[in-house]
Amino acid sequence: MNQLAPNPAALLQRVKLDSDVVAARQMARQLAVELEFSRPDQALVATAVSELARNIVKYAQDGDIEICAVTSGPRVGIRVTARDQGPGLEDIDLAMQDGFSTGNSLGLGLPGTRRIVDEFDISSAPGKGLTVTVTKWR
Amino acid sequence: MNEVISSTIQSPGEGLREVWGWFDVSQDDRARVADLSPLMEQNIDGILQDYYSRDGGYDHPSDENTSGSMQEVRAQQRRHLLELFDAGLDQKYFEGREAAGIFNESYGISPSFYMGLYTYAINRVCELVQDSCEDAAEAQTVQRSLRKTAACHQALTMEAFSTARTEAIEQRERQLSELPTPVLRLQEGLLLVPVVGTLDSHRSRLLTIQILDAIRDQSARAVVLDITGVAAVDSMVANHLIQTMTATRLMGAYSVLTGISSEVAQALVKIGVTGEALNPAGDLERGVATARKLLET
Repeated sequence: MNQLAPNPAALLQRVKLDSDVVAARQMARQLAVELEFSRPDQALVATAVSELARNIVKYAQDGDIEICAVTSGPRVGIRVTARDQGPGLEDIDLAMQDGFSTGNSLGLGLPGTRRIVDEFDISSAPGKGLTVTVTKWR
Repeated sequence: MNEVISSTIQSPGEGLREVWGWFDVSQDDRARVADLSPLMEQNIDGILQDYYSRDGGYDHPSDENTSGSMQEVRAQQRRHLLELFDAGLDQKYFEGREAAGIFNESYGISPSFYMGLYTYAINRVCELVQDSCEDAAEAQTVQRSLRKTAACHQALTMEAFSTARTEAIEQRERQLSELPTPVLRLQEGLLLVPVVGTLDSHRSRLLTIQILDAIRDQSARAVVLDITGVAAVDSMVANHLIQTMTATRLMGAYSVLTGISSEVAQALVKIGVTGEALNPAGDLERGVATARKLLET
């Protein structure tokens, strides 16, 4: 397993506006193309980043998305870390349930993202912001 | 000269004090720079003339041929340069930097061009100080004060430039997100809505209103919603589309969604968005055909 130490080669996108969501998404897709992910997997990576970035805009107003290439033995993948200093989650298990939303949305953002990535890690506490780290292997 | 501290030097406001601190600009530095003011006023026109007419540095024609806006730029540059020697005056000076930054941004004066002019002018003033001071050590002190103050002056202006630039970008983004989406009539009872750009909640609300109005005004019975031009389709965009299409249905019209690529479709399904509510029909051609069939029923 790779360390989660800051990666100098990581791409960083500040996320504040809707247009930043698009920028983060394009950045992720670009990296997926460079790493020769299949076209459906490129869309999955882009969608995962899009969901995580949307959550930041919607619930925390300000945060960042870090995208980097990772390797584990012969495997190549993309790791995405979404960080914000927003209100955080009261109940992580509840937030991970399909259809749960405090914001009048479909409630698919977090559980949906978990379904389309290979590794999913979430940490949060009320008032402490939210950090979600996901990895998609090629 | 060291002891002559002009009484006009005001103590800086809080924000400015911090910036002077970063650049190690003391009250004495500011006073020395302020004392150079008469020297600068005497020489500024010559310095600027030399700067603009040098070979290679600046390829605009001489004064007679310059357009009105170029003269405006030169007048402002002269003023901003002179203001450097007002560094002793506090708030007005600070506001002047902001105005200079906003001016540079709106007239497209690049930071490099701006810095070029200043570097040239400051060096010329340093030469003048050298010539007019008998004591070499004192000349050096004055020059050091001027360089520090000028660096700070430039930094403040650039910061204002960058703030103005960011605001301009945000403004444009807001304008873009409020761009109306056309609702086109394809034939009687059939509307086409090509959505382009990002679809946030504000815009999707506008879109819904527009579509519903058009359905009412034109007694439409089918709407083709094409999202080929939507930049990021994810669960939030899907949610907005579902709401728009549900509202359309409640107005008695069918809606058909086109323009989702196969990859995005797969990703949406994996996330958990179900296709039924969206009534997708592949590309625009098939979407229009589907909508026509709906009209016939």
